[in-house]
Amino acid sequence: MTTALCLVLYGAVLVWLAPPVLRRLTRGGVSPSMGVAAWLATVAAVLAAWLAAVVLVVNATSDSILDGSVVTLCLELFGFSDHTPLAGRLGSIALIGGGLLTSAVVALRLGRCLAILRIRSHEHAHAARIVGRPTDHPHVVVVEADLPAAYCVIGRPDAIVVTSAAVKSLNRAQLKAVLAHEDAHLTGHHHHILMALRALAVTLPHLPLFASAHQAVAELLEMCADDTAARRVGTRPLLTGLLALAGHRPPVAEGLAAAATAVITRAERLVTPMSRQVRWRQRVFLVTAIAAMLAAPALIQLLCHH
Amino acid sequence: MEQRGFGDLEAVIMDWVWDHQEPITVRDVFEDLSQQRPIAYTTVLSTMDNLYRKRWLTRQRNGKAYVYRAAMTREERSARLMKAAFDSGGDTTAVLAFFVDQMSAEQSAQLKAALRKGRRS
Repeated sequence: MTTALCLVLYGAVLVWLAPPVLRRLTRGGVSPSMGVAAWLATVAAVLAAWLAAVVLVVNATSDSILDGSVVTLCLELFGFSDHTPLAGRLGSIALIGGGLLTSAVVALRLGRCLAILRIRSHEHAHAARIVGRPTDHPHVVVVEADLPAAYCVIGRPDAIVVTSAAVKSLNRAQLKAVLAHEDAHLTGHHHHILMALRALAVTLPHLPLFASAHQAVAELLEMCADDTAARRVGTRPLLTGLLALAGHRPPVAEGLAAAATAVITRAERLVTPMSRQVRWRQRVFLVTAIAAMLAAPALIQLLCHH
Repeated sequence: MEQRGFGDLEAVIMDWVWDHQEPITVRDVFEDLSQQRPIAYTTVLSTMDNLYRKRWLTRQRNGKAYVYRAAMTREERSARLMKAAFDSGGDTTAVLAFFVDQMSAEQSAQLKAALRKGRRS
């Protein structure tokens, strides 16, 4: 029971305190894949801690529905010793019901949101393949449009959409770099990660960790794809391709400033690679953070039993 | 430009409809396609029925058979797809990974400045 309470508190601490720390640790995208790992580990740690807490509570109280011992004990601890076992019994039922109901509702909403995101993505990929012209690259279709843009979306099969304007404004090497970048998203299963995080953000929008994880991880995944593309075709065509496709679109309202900052960060880290020392330092910080986060529940268990 | 793969029958049929413009029957499409690839009449029939249900095609009864036409031109469809793509990012829209996010001209100038600075140092 105490362990469950500690786990709930631990999850809450991570939810509210981890985002600024993670943002600081992953700043500048020195090692983006490790940064993604840190965000995902935090999200997983919170979910695991809360789920474990629910299981522990249900386990501990289900035996005591009849005698109400656990909750009565708790009430006694808080000084309500003159309460009858009935209060304990009702409390037990309320605890179990509340825990199970909340978990079920959250799981159901998550599942439904994931299903919708998946269907919408598949529909989009399918429509793009019908409307676009096929190319000699199996996934790539060219869609007529005045705005130069390139993106990818998962489906059966996946689609990389390049607009006709983008084909015109990119040279051969730049186009290859753009395609390598999008290909890295698809082979790295980046969409699946983003879908899960988007679903969490939609389902639990008031929890800061889930609200911010999607955007932060999306930016880091762009950097991961940049690194893969740069390894394959070189930094120069990727950078010039970035420039060729940026700034053609009409300014749209919100989220724009953040998006631009992210692109500038991407460009800057491609132009000036970090020194090996800085890279290793950030990696060590991130690994330590992940290890600490995952070890904490064991420590809690130990402390709560003494 | 490459040929469509065998699995993309819906895309092949929409290409055919868009390229011919005038209303067509399943038999028109079947006779043309069967010269290029081994295909059953019922496959074409069910695929066109699918496209009708997904609102890519509209149809009208003409005697015994349906005549089909495209619900929208390829340009209209493309425009709609691109609008959906640029408006994406809502709670339940498709998850797309853009190469570069949307930026204003001013922000793109900022990006160019950042690049120049980087190259000098």
